[in-house]
Amino acid sequence: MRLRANRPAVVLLSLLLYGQALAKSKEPKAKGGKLDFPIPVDQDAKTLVVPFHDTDGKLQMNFEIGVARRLDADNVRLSHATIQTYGEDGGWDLRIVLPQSMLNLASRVVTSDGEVTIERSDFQLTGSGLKFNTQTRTGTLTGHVEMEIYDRSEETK
Amino acid sequence: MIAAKKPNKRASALPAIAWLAAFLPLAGQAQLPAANAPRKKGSTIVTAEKESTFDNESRRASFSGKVKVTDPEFELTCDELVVFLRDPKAEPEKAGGSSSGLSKAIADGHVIVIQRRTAEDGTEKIYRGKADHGVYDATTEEFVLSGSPEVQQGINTHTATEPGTTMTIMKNGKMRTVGGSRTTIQEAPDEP
Repeated sequence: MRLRANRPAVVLLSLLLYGQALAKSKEPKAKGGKLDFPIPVDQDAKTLVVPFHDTDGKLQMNFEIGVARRLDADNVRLSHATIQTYGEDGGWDLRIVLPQSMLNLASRVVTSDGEVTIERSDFQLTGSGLKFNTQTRTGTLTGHVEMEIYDRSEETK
Repeated sequence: MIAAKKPNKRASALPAIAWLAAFLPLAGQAQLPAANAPRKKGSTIVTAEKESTFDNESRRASFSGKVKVTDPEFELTCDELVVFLRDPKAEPEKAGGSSSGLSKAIADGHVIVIQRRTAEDGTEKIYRGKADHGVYDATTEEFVLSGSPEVQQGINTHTATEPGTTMTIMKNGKMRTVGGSRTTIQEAPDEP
């Protein structure tokens, strides 16, 4: 009898929970799933190198980190990190130097509010903040941004 | 269709002062080092005050907010810029062509460009252009200005008289205008 009286509230609550679950499922998730980071929550790890491979076992990127602290299941705070990404041919592609940054393991996005340098064989890009998707290898630098595009004849010397 | 009318009109010194004022910030910037960091010879330097997005796969970067470009071929300021970098695998370096890592640059909003060209007779020509839109192609080394373009070279100032007029600063030191334009020939000031 009481349950029947509260039926509208139960339906409303169910809808609310369903909506929340739906919203959560729409959060950007990386295609290859969550990155595996071998540090327990609330613990620091110093001077470590963490390689990430794709599903075929091919090396995608290397994180060289001065100090890493896992804040929760998804977020890792990085100090003095260098991310090195690798191309299809196995050669190095991008090198990202981040004095202070945050890595979201679920979205595979690195963010930083500090000085950032991105290097490739043909350019160097610096900025005062970064949001970089390690999977799509696209990013946005903010603040005063500067890009140096190298002369190709100088590269070959 | 080339439609550059030359009324051979002698203008006052006022347009020259306006031109000088428009290019002063760019001229000052060109004299300053782009940053404290050591530069590689022949590099193209792009700076922006707001942000930059880049896509590693498509070799494309966009910039916004007081964008400045210093390239061995030209100097440029604009509101927004998209640059495309050369793909060394797909586009091997050509002998005698531009060796810049830059493939193409598309500039929008308050575009001001200074380009130095050596004519066939060996004389150096300095082109100062302004427009709403500009495209630089490093393969042809040409700069195409559109959207009310205006280009000054020496005592000549070419001004678009139609919205669709385009002005191309060519590699050989010549300029090509497509669409209606007016040319003002200004008398050089007397030497004191």
